[in-house]
Amino acid sequence: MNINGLSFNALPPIDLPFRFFLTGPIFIILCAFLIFFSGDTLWLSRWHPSMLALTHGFTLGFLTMIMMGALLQLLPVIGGVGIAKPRLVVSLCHSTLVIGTMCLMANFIWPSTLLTVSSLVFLICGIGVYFFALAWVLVKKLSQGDSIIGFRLAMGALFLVLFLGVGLLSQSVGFTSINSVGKTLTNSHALLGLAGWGSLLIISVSFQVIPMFHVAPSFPKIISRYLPSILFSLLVLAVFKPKLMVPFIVLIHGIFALSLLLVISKRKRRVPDSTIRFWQLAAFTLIVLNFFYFIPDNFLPTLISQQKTLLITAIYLYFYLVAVIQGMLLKILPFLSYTHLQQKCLINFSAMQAIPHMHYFLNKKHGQWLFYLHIMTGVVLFYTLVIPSAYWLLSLLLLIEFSWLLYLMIKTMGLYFQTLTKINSFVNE
Amino acid sequence: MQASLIFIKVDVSALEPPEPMTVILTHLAKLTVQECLLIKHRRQPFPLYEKLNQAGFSYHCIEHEPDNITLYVFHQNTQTVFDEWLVTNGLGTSDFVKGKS
Repeated sequence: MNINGLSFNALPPIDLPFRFFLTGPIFIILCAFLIFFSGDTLWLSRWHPSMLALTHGFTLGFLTMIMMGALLQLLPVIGGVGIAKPRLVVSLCHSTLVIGTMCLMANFIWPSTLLTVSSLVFLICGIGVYFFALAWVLVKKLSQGDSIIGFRLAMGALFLVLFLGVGLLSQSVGFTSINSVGKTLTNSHALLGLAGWGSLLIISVSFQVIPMFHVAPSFPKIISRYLPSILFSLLVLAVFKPKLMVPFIVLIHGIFALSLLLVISKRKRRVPDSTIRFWQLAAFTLIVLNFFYFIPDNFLPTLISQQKTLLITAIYLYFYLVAVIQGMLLKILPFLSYTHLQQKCLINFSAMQAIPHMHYFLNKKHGQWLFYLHIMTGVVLFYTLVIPSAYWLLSLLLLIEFSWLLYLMIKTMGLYFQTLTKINSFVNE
Repeated sequence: MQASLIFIKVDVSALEPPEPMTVILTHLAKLTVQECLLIKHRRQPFPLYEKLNQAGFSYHCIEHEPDNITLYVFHQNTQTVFDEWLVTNGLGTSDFVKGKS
């Protein structure tokens, strides 16, 4: 590969990804209040309006929000090129995604034409502009091929999710008519969102960040080269033949989980690390989900088998997708802060003495507490799905866990800006 | 000319980020115009490239494999000496990424 002459964009200003990161936990805090005030009826069906609001609070408000912020920074680090006009794109995408997600959540609870149209306009604008800004970068010939191919496929899945979501939402105000296949399309929308946009992106990111951050060997070539494409193909086929394809999608996740555990076990840096624990938790979750999915319903207690689909989705979302994202945040928050500050020191090397040790940006023990909180909340989520009267405890734990995450982010950002002031005073001397 | 280029070797391939950057910056702070920093790395430090140019350095990267690269960093004044060294050692036409102002 010869990429001589390609201009390497500097990392986008740190406040741009942090804007997305800081908003993510706030949406889960909102979800915690939604759980508390909706009571135990919320857990009766996946079609309950508050449940639809809750799932979109998690998926759009937290997962998509943070993944969009993280990609802004990961692309320049992994591929060497960032998006054009990042401040303009981020200001537009972030604000419209926040407003659009809030309108959508409100629309599920208090349906109205105004809220539906607002959700459509803001979400199409927020996700659409982001999609084209990233597509402009991803169509170029970039370094680190396998991950970049995975990013492209994940963005393709995001486009399909948006397309189906817009179609489903439009029918409620009479823009489209898809009533006869509405439920099937909703399932495809959910599957592409979670296993396509969410999981495919996480899998592709893992090919780069696990070897990079944990000094581990690269993933087996057969996995990094073929697994994202196979998963994407299965997801597209699942739109037409869901019952046939979903078992293979589950199995593919199991294969990824085993290769993830293998790579992690061979890492050179064997220091205690909460991010690794989150990755291990995600891998074990995917393996357990494989068993859970393939066990015939008559082997399960009635209470569990009645809620099997909801349980699998909740576990996948909380113990896999949310877990990996929290683990990644614990790693990239201090890393980005430190890297941005280090780059400022190239103008004046003596300013390096102003940068505190990495651990000061995010205390390792504080990361561990987040991990334990996540486990507790996840267990209570499982329990609430079976015994809905525990909803108040889930609400309380979500509030604690994500307030803690928000506090860690604010603390890291605070130290970043304090240090930046010190470095600027060195540079101006 | 070639004899005047002194290579300072560092291996950051087994370090966890952001330690590679710390090691590189520490060495760059002491790098003289007669010296070239030869870095063994696992990946291309893309975010560093543009900043290196702004800070008066040039770089030349040879990617042996996706997870095995050699990066040369030197003062922009040393570009001619470095180019001669590249030609002498037959490295001028390899897969590379380079930057200079």
